[in-house]
Amino acid sequence: MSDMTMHGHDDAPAGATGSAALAIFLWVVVTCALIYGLYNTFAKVVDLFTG
Amino acid sequence: MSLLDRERTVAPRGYNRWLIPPAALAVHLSIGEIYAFSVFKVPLKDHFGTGLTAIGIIFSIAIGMLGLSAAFGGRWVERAGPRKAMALAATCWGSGFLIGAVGVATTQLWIVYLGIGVIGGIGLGIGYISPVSTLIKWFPDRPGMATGLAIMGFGGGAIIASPLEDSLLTRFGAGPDDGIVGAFIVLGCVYFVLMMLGAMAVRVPPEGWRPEGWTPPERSARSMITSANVTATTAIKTPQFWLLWTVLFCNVTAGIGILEQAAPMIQDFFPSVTAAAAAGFVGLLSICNMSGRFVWSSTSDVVGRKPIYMGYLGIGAICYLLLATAGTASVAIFVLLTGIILSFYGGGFATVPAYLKDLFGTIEVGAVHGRLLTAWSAAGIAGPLIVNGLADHETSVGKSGADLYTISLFIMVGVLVVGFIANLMIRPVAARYHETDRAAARDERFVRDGQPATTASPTPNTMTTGSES
Repeated sequence: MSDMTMHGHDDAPAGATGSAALAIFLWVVVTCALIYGLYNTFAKVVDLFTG
Repeated sequence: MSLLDRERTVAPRGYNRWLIPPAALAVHLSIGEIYAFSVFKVPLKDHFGTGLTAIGIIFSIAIGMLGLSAAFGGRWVERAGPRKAMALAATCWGSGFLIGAVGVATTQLWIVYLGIGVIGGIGLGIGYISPVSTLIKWFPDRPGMATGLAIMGFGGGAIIASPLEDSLLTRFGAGPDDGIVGAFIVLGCVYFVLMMLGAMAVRVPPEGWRPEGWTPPERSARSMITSANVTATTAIKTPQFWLLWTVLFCNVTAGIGILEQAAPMIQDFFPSVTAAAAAGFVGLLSICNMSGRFVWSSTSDVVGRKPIYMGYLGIGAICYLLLATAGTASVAIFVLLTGIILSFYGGGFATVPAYLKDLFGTIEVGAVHGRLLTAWSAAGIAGPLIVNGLADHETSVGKSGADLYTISLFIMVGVLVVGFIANLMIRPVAARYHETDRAAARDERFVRDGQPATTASPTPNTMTTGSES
């Protein structure tokens, strides 16, 4: 997990902190979008084996 | 200095590299919508009162422009940096939908061709290649996984866009063709915002950066992975580029042949399969395509790029052979075989940037990748032409059902065998094509993104803190 942590905060400028916050927000957005897409696709896939 | 300049995107020391993939995914999930554009085909046909062929031209122009802009814009993308390139892609892709909405509102099909086809297509090409070299530089230890994660987004974009577009068309009009303008405007705005957020979040690694505790493995003279660099202009003069072009062309031709014809194909093989079940089959293939991009590309970091392509092409050929000879045995066998083929199709796309990095180094890997994508455009013509053309011919001589596809499936076996042989012939790039250290020292591109000119990299402690301040 050390790879997932932020090192060297002391010399990270404010712009980098903003980018980091934005990137974390984007992780949430893309994950939710993929779950939405997969859920809707699997709902159709069920028809292939039951329809 | 503009906010979009490369210099403003250099990450400070200690920046977490796992903050880069979501920026790439935001762009690829947005441009991946193009695979779901078929949702608009019938509403556009009804709106313009024309045939499906005229509407299909929108997709063809967009894919053609993708190849052209990736090929010709690759060096600019390397020079300008990922943020500026992603911002341009966002502007083109977002405005393409807005211009398309104007075309639909005024019933001028040529404006839709211009908007979504030409301008949107430029956004596709620039957006597709913009995060690739940045990710490879952040993940030199796992380039296949990194590019697989981003390019998975291109496959996943359709899975998200398809239900979204269906609901937008319903929400904005009494009939689907009434809702196109509203749907295009919403999509254009959403994609522009999402891609711009990606552009703002992307960062390039500081000079001399490498992952903590990672040292580049020793390379023998026969190793496929080079520590040297080859420019895009030189790369296309090497046999390796054209062999890899052939590999990609063959892999994409084989996959796209099924992808393009999936729904009618399963119904021809199994007449009992309903239209709803066929749509489920298309959805399942999309998931295989998307997951193959991440799973197989990540696997290539462990087994190597050349062996994984031997799998894509060799096992793919066996799957096609089984499909031709035993595909009608059961729906489960048919779905299993086509699913494997489509996962290899996606894997081939996602692994190729890492293969290029192994062969040509990182200096202009995005530009080399852009030029290689012309193989995609060529395969996009060849694959459907083989399957559709032969199916039409077989119909005209009185055949039906699975027999419509027998010849094309055997042709695909041959295509994959050609690709397999081309992959076998790939050897390390000869030293005469490498940029010399002196030339490298004169060229700022060799030293600015964590890729020093010589093999002796600075230690992480010597890294610059970027120019954010």
